[in-house]
Order: sequence, then C-alpha cells, then structure tokens
Amino acid sequence: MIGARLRGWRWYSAVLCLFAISFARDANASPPGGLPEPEPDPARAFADTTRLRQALTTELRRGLAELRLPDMPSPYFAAATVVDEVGMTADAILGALRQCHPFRNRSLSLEVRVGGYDFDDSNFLGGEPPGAPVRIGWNADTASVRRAVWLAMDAEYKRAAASYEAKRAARGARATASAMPASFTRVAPVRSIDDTAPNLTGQDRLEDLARTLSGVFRDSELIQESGAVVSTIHSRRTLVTTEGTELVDTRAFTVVVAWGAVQAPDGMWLRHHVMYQAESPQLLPPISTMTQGIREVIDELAALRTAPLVDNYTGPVLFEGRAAAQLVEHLFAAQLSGTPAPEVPPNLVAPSPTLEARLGLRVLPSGFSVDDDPTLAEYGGQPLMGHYRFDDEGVPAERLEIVHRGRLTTLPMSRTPSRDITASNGHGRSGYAAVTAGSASNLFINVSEGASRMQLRRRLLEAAREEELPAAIIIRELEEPFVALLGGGQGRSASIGRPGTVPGALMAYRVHADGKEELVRGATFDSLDLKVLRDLSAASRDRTLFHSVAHAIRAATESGALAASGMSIVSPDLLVREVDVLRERSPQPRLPLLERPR
Amino acid sequence: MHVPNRLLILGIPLHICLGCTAQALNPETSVARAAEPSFPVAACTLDLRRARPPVGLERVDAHSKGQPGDPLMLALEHELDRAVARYGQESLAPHYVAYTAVDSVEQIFVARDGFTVTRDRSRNRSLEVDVRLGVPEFDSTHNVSEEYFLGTTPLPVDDDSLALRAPIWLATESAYHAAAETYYQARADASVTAPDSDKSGDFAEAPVVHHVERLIPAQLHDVDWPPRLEAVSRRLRDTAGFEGNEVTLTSTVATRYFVSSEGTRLRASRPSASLRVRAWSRAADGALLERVEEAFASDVEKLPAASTIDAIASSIALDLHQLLAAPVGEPYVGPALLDGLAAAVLFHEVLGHRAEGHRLKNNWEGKTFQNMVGTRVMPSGFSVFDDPTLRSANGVELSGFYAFDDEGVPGERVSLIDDGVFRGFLMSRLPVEGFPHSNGHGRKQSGFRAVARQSNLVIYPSKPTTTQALRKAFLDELRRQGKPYGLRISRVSGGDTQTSVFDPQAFQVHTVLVYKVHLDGREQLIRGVKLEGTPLELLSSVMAAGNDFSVFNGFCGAESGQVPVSATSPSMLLKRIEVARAPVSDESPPLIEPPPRSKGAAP
Repeated sequence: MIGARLRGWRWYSAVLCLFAISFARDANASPPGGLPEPEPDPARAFADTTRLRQALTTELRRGLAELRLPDMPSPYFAAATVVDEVGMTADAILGALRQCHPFRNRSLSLEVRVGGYDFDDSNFLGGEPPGAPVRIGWNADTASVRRAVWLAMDAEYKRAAASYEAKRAARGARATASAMPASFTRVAPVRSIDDTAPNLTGQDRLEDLARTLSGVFRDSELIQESGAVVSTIHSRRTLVTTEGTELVDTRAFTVVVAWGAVQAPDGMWLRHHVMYQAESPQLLPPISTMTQGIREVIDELAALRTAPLVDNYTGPVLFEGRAAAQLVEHLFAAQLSGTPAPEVPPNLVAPSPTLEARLGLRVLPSGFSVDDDPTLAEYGGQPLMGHYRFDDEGVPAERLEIVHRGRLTTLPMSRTPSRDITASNGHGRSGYAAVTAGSASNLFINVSEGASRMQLRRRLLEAAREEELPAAIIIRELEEPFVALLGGGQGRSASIGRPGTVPGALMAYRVHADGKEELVRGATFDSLDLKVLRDLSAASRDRTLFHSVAHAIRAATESGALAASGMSIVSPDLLVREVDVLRERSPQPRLPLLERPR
Repeated sequence: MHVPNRLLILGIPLHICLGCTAQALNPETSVARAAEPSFPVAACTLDLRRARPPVGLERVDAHSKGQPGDPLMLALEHELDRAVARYGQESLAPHYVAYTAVDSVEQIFVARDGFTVTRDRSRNRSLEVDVRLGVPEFDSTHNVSEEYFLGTTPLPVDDDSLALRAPIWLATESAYHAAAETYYQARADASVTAPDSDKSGDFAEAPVVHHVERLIPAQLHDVDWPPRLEAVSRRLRDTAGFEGNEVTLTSTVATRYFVSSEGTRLRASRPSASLRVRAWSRAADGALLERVEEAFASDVEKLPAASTIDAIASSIALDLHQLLAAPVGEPYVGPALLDGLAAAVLFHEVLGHRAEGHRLKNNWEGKTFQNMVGTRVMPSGFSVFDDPTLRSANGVELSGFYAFDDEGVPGERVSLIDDGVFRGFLMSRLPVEGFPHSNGHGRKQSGFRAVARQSNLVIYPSKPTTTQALRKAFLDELRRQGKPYGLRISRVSGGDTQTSVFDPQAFQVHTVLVYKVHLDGREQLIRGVKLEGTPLELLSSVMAAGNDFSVFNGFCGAESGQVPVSATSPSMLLKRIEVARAPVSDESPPLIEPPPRSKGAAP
C-alpha cells in the first residue's frame, strides 16, 4: 500500500479505509509510456555477448552446485535468458500524435528445476508461480549480472523446492499417479551465436507514419473513433543452460494497425481495422497501399453502419479469405498444444484436457492435412510471423505434420512431455502467460481437392436450397476483439483470451439464390466448436495468408519479447455444413447526443 | 476577472510562531491534567513561506489579442460550450460540467545495482470529465461510495483542434450517460432508505476563478543524471554488500487545465522533481529491511548536490548495516519520544484523515470529530493547520503546495486545532452539515473523483522547548512511570488509518528506525515494530514539543488516489504510546554467498 500509485482502483470505504504517507513509491512500478528518448548508441545494447554468457554460465553452475536446502531436493537444471530489446511505438488519432514511446530494456529470466527429469517441480498449479523477469542494466558489468543471477536463482530454487514438495504430495493423493508422464525431456545442447546488431533505419519516421495513416480518418465524419498504431521492435535473446546450451539470436518485427469504429443507428458499435506487418519499417508496404487499405475500412464501416441485422439462421456458412483463417485460429490453432495441462492439488479442479486425447482421431475431413512449420520465413514472398530457428527453450524448430488425411497425428511440444509424445519438437513458446508450452507457429491448412471460389459459392447455395433456406451466409471477416484495446474500448469485447471461442462476424453477407449479396451485421455464433471442422463440406484451392491480430497487437502494445510469439495461418476458404448464427441481442449503448466535432 | 485574494499574499513569509504566548488549559476538558510538567520555553525555529512566485506563477491571458490561443484550452472550452448547450435540452440536464486536462512531460532515470535500467521520457495529455446531473442539492454524485475511480481519456499531444475535440466529445458523452445511470440509481436508493440526516446537499457553491499561468517548458536531463545515479548506485553496491539498491530521478512538468460550466478557467504549470535512494537486504530471520530517502524539489536543479547525495547514501548504508544487526523489538506501552518526521506522519494519520470533511457525509464513517468542534482534544499550546499555499518550511520545499485545488477552488489555510481546541474540517465542494463551503482541499490523483484531502499539515506548539529539555523530560517520565526503558521513534516509512465504523478507529505507523532508550540515556536500535493506537487517546497524551521542526514529504493514498502531501512537526514527547510487532517475511536470506564484488568489464 505504501506509496503504490493506484490505477483502476475500486474503493470500499465501508469495510476498508487505509491511508499511506511515505517517501517510498512502488519500486517496481513501470514508468509510463514515453516520447522519443534519443538513443545515443543503440548498438551498445546489442554488443557482443561473450562476457554476458560467461557471467550467466558461471553463476548458473555455481548455483546448481551449491544451492541446497535441508531435506529438500537439489536443483538439476537451470536456465538464464537475457532479452535485450530496443524499439518504438507511435500512436496517433486523426492525424495528431497521441503518444510515442521509444524503449530499450534488458531483462533477466531464471528457471530452476529441482528433482530430476522424471519428476520435478514444474507444470503444477499448486505452487508459487515463477518470478517475473527482472530488469538489469543494459551495460551492466559482470559483477552486476552475476549478482542479479545469484538473487534470482536463489528465489527460484526456493520456489521450485516448495512446489516440488507440494506437487509430490498432490500426486500421492491421486490414484493415477503412476501413469503420469515424465516432467522434462532431455535434449542435446545447442550452441548458436548470432549477435547481429539491430537495423533501426526508419524508426525515426514512425511518428509521421502514424500521423499520416490516422489522418486518413479525418475526412470521414461518420467514423466516431479511429487511430493508427505503429510499432517496431528488435530483440535479442541470450539463453544459457546448465546442460550446455548457449544460444544468441535476434528477431525484428514491425506492425501497423489502423482502426475505426462507428455506431449503427441502434447503438451497436462496429469496429474494423487493417493490419500490416514486416520485419522492419522499410519493408512495410508503400504508404499509398496502406492508405488505400484504410479507405476500404472506412467504406466498409459506412456500409456496415446501415446494414440490416442478421436473422437467426441455422445452415451452411462459407468462411472466405481471412474469416477462414480466423476460424482456424480460434477453433484449432489456439488449442494446438501437446503440453499436458498442469497438475493440480486435490482441492482444485483439473483444467480441461488438451487435444492430446484426440491423437489418432479424425479432426478434419480426410482430404485435409495440416502442417506447422516455424522454419519457414516466407510464404508467397510475404514474411511469416511464426518463424524462428530455436524455440524459447533453445530446441531447434521442426516442421510438423499435425493432421494427416484428417487425423490428428502429433501436436506442438515443448520440453514438457505428455503420455503420448515424449520429446520436444521445437515448439516450446512462452506466450503472454510466461508459461512455456507447445504452440503453433506457421500453420498451413492443406486440402487435396480444392474447389474454386465460385464453385464453393454454388455449393453453398445448393446446400441452402436443400435445407429450404431462402438465403445462405458468407463470412469474410470476423471481429478482432483485441482491436478494442487500441481505442476507447467501445464495442463488443467477448472472447478476448478465451481459446476455442469464436468472436462474432464483422463482414457477413446474406447470399440469395440468384447470387446477390447483402451485407448484414450483428452475427454471432452459437456452439461453434472444434467438431464443426470434422464436417467441413469443402475448401478452396486458393489459400489466404493471415497473421494473428491478437499476437500482433499485444506485441505492439505490450513491449517485451512478445514479438517472438507471432503466428501466421495459411488457410483455404472453408464451407461448413451447419452453423448456428444468432442475431446479437445484448443491450446497445445510446447514440451520442452531440455530433462529432468538425 | 476575479482574482483570488489568496494570491495577493504570495511570496510573503509567514512566521507562525511570532507572538506565541502561554495559555492556560481549559479545566473543563478531559485532556487537561492537574499536574503538568513544566518545560523551558525555547525560541520557535519554524520558518514557513508561502509561494514565492516561480516563473510559472505569473499570470497571463491564454487568449490575449494578437496571441494565438492555447489549442488545448480552446478545445476544452469549445466542447464544454457544446455539451452545456445540448445536454441542457435534455429532461435530465447537467447543473455542472467540468473538464480537467493534464499535459505532462516526465523523465525517469533508474540505476539499479550500478547501472541504468530505465531511461524514459514521456509526454502525455489526459482528460477527465465531471458531469453532474440534477441539482446541487441532489445530483448524480449523491452518496457516491464506490465509484471514485473514473478513469482518464488520452488526448493527442499535437495541437490539432479536431483531434483534440473528438476524444473530448466522446468522453463527455460517456460521462453524461454514466451520470444518468448513477442519478437514477441514487434516486431509487433515496426512495427506499431513511432520509439523510445531513441536508447540506451534494455540491457547494464556489467562486468563479480565472487564472492562467505561463507555460513552463520541460527541461531535459539526459546527459548529467544517468551517470550520477549510476555512480551512487555502484558505490552502494561495491561498498555495502546489500542485496540490492536503486537510485531514481523523476522530473516532471505537469500543466493542468481546468474549465467548468460555471466559468472557471485555470491553467497552471508545475515542475517537480524527486530523487530517491533505496537499499535493501534480508536479515537472518527473513525480515526484508530497507532504507529509503527521497528528496522533493520544485526543480531538478534544487535537488541535493552530489556531495549531499553521497552523504545520504552513506547514511542509508550505515543505518541498514545497523538494522541488519539489530534485535527485534518487543510490544511496549509507555512514554515515547518522537522525532519530527515520525510525529509528522503520526499527526497525518491520527488527525489529518479524520479532519477530511467528506467523511462526515457517510454513515459508515467513524466521524470521530463530528461533534467536537470547539472541544479540547489536545493540551493547550498545540495547534495544527493545513495550508496548501505554503511553499517551504525552514527552507524545505513542501510537496503539498498548490494555489487551486482539483475542483478549481483557491487553496486556503484551515485551522484544525487551535490551542488544543478542535476547530474545523478540510473541505472539498461536497458540503456537510455546518460546513457548507469548500476551503480548497478537494484533491485527487488523475482519474479519480476529488474528495477532501490534506496538503501541507503543520503541527506547531506555542511553547516549544529545547530538544535537551525534551529528552530530559522523557527520561523523567520513564522513571515516573517505572519503566526500565522507553522508545525513541526516529524514522517511519508510512502509516494507515481506519475510519470505517465497522473497524476499530485505529491507526498504525510503520517504523524504520526505533531506539530503545535506557534510563541512563543509552540508545539501542531495534527493528520489527509498529506504532498502534486510537486517535483521541493519542492526541491527549502529547506532553511537549521541541523546537526542531522536520518536514515529511510524501504521497498519501485514499479514495481519491495518491496525492502529494507534506507534514511538518517538531519532535514530541508522548506520555503513552503502544508499540506492537510488525509483520515479517519468513523468507530466508540467500542460501549461498554473493558472487565476488570486484568490478568486471561490461559483458
């Protein structure tokens, strides 16, 4: 309480009334976002890592050899990850800069495991969670680095030892304990050093780019809220483990998101966006291309605003283009992990089982296969956001055939084995919860006999006719709830962070028997889950490349090593045999009493 | 244009102890004691100064002829006019609309363990909207109890009229609709609950103020400070061997705009700076011990010189070493000598929060002093007031300074206790029975709703004694009470107070440096204790005060968020205080020796 600055604080005066006066403010409070902080020598943040690795190795080995608690298990594995990052985020509305934040950080994360590979403290919900990364000086000397590792390793060892005992007790209370998989897989140590200095060319133009792109919304009086965010980050990861792995690699990522929002006459908020990604600012599309993309967003919002509400519908739905990839993302990709759910103490409810239970079973029609390939950097000349050479645990990335002829054959794995998949396949990624787990990277949905888009539409209408429906539905874009984080938070925000839940449709069309299309709004889905993919009627030959918006926006707004967790999906259009489409029924906010300023 | 009277005395030094005279105790009060010890009267050493106008306090006209208008002020005024005109046509119309916009530039440098970990500069503009629907006697804020946090809306930092006005427009719409909801809820609640005993209404009248100051540009400190902070931090690392240390410099220039439908127009730029030195380590029993010193100033250049910072760091290191070796104190009740800093925090908690007027409005508040106006609560000779217009005390700048509060009301000096008699409350524009007007203490952190808060609290005795006499009286009192030792509370880190009727009306103050004082005068540092007590007993146990005033600058957190405050007090002798064990962590110190301290090359 002392000195902590309060944000988002609800006050319950009746039951609690605390006051603090203090010299001390929160020591770990993050500084607020900033304006350009000229970095005199950004390359210094990426200087040679030889001494850093030496310092990490020395202290890890010392800790592994000496850290002991009476009657408690010893550490058998430790890893230190130092992430250097430099970058900038610029955010503008209506042509005016709202914020520009250059950043430069170095953070240290420590992992300590006690026990042994067969049974250790990890993947258990009953213990203390691992400590958060600590900031260390970007020019810190050997002594400071070693001190930071010393303290973090001490804390992690104590935490791990306590978790080990709690996990052991929890297992003892379960009848199935003997059938549990091992805790940690062995891997060959890796040594790969890539100290490439960041290329920051173009970073100084991000402010103006944000102004220019956000300014496109200026002339559209219909659009109530809008903005553009431009973010670029260069990060370098230095990973050292007591197994002998020494790994240094760098990543770069630039994203542009421009968004607009408008209320329909009934008050419903409609939020639309366009996103561009590239490795660096220079590789972004020309400004004219991005500007045109924003104009299309404005036009579509204008059309949506006056579009009629969708009628409740049960029948065939064709997911075209981005919508098909979004469907795959929410229904399939988000659940693609072979990492077993954490064990829990007896007093907690166990998390839902993972997809592992469906290994060997059909999850797609037999004409479908699915690959996940982090080793690919490009597709059709476009960069893939899920590319990496080594995963977050330092394991070399592997291409996986996840689905073969419709059957689930394997899953992305970290070094936490499952009953059926006992080795890592280089898909261990930390994501946003900082828990390393197997996850998808570049996901390719392949179909053996794809149809043309026109053929798919004909089949859609035929299926609707068989159901005696007056019209069918095509969906070309789903809502992206994370876009709401960029603005005032207006509009529907359901399903953020809930894997397996499909958000509502943004661009949905009622297609009549004569092929005439009519834009409708307010379409949500009922009971849309993984099972619908088993009954896909057909898919297109042509495929669409889609980059996960949720990953990109979080990378743009929550600076950190999040750029590492990008995901791309290449998917054909998908015709689903039966979907329940429901009209949005939640109460809508009132329209503004005043017109937008001019 | 209305010029607040308070500004006319800016720059005039105020010596509050002039003319101090001895006064007799009121024999009718419970506080009066039959046999008071006598103390030699010393010269009062407190020198309080009101604001000497810095450059930013010069008044200018925001839209003077021939000058381009301030784009942010113009945008606020434009949208305010539109909102008042349009919402005024609604059946549920606002009686008051106000905007607060804060344009701030902040620089933060943090050195940890010898090296810079943060070097950040930010420029932000934020907006807060206050829409009150209904009438001042009963409006949409009626009995607001949980919704103190309202949030802020980010505004562009570029001066573009359309881009500024668009988010103001949407935020106003949102505030209007939210206020309508709370108004109808309040109406419904009022119809099913007992009538309010307090008939004072929901919003007090206040003078319309026009006061626009010159904008102060932010000064950048990129070059000098990071290496200075690193040097201090590295010295602490290399010489002290603690678990960690951190040296932080924060420099801010915040320009606050305030416009209201009543016609008030304010613009004030306030630079501020703070330097904090912090070191911590874990004792053998697991207690995490830390020493923090922070200096506040109105400008980075007024922060302590390098040699002073070094001395502060050395002092912190010495204290922390001694704390690590100090025994844990035992629960204690008996006489105590409070150094000025500790007494200042104690009065902030014990008296200050209970004098915040809005606490008289809610039935779940303890209302300790509600019916004590005119009643003696302390021995005669002691007075306490709160004065936001004070800029410094004995040359130390006071962080609770402001000319206008967060509701646009001129800050006023408010007497809380005069010669031992309770006199009144700190008031925002929320009136309470018997106190119908604001005295300029409506304060809040950005994003919160303002309530009455403290600013610069000053405790002064009319008959201060010398520190030597105070110490002698302390030892005498120990002997009189038959105590083998007493406690001297030297440093505290903060405190908290419970004012809810559902809780004991108690306070606690978290200590840092506490000394056991034996009857022969020897002192022994102890740790792990906190002060506890109840307000009326504590106030009545004050015996005497020294002439060694200390200033505690810090942040105070309550319903309306964190606000900068100060408290100034002399050292004080208390007849009876209670000390209890403080909570301690059970984490063990690091299991293995630290790595070698020798400096290494940059990895």
